[in-house]
Amino acid sequence: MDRSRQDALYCEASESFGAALVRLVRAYEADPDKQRDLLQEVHLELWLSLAGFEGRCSLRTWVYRIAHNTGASHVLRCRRASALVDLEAIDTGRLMDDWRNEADRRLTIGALFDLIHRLQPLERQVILLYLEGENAATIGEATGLSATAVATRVHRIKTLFKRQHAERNVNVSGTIE
Amino acid sequence: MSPERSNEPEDLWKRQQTNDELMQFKMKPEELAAMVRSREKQNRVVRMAVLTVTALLALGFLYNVWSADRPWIRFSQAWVFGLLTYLVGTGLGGQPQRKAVSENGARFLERQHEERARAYLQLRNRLWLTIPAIAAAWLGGGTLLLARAQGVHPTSEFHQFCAGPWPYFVTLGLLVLVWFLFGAAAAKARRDIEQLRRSIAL
Repeated sequence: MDRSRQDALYCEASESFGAALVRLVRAYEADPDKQRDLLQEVHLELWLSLAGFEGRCSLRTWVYRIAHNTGASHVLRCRRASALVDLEAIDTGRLMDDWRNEADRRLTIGALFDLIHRLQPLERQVILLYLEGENAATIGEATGLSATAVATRVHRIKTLFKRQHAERNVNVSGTIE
Repeated sequence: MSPERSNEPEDLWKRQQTNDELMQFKMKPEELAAMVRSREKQNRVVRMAVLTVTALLALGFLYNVWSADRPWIRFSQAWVFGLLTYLVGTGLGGQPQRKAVSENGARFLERQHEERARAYLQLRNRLWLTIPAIAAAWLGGGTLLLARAQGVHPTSEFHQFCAGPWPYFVTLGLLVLVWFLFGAAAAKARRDIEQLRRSIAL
């Protein structure tokens, strides 16, 4: 691919998915000082990869794959993978405590990031793409998971969020406390 | 009065601060191209430095082959020289390949773990290449020569230690320990692959 086409594709991707890339980087790196470096790395990998983009998948899927793989590499390099858990094993009790402790009993972005930072890379990809509003087909294409596997994970995510919602309502109405 | 904003995770996610510095992050293709060139230059410098240090070490061993008077010591030094040349040839000879990161997430993670397992096993297998050099140094009394060269007194305990087989037993013991550690690391990588495959199948 010629350089001008690569540059044009990069500009298009950066314009369309720039904000999503920032949100994604925050989900892969908790330290604000390191987030900029990771974001720069993601942009660099994206630009380099676009030289090999042949349109076999959508630009959206391509961007997500590059960004998530760069983020996953970063996680595997910086943190012991054994410390990360699956969606199934996430400590919902601790999560609920975090949310309960918030002064207004409302879910905060910090608590949401805390949940995401504890997940294995593949699980993290699914939850991030779900939060970005992507459909099961795009999530499957980006992660390599089957439609059933994506559906199972999305179901778990929704259940987790519903439990959080129910817990919040119970706490606010004071029926338990 | 402003309407109450939704506090659902999906809405909260999209509502992240949009006016902070990170959200304004933009890079031009020319800047990225310059960054790539700069990194390639840095890599070349590092490769040259590693090659130079290894070449100097190899020259040191080559000098020992020429200057040593005991055949087993010569063989030991020649083996290490050959080993270094082989490692430099295979490890640093080719240009590093850029890894494709455009594959899907599951395949990418699987490949990462596979490469990790392969690298540990390769390092573990290469440990045995040092055995002939250690054995030859033992047969040629290498540690004793080294102790004498360092001016260790012949009646000292350390001199007696060097005269016996213990330095080689200790070295072999360490090699076995490192062999097991690399094996354990490779096994961990394989377990990660299995766990990933189970997770994909769910």
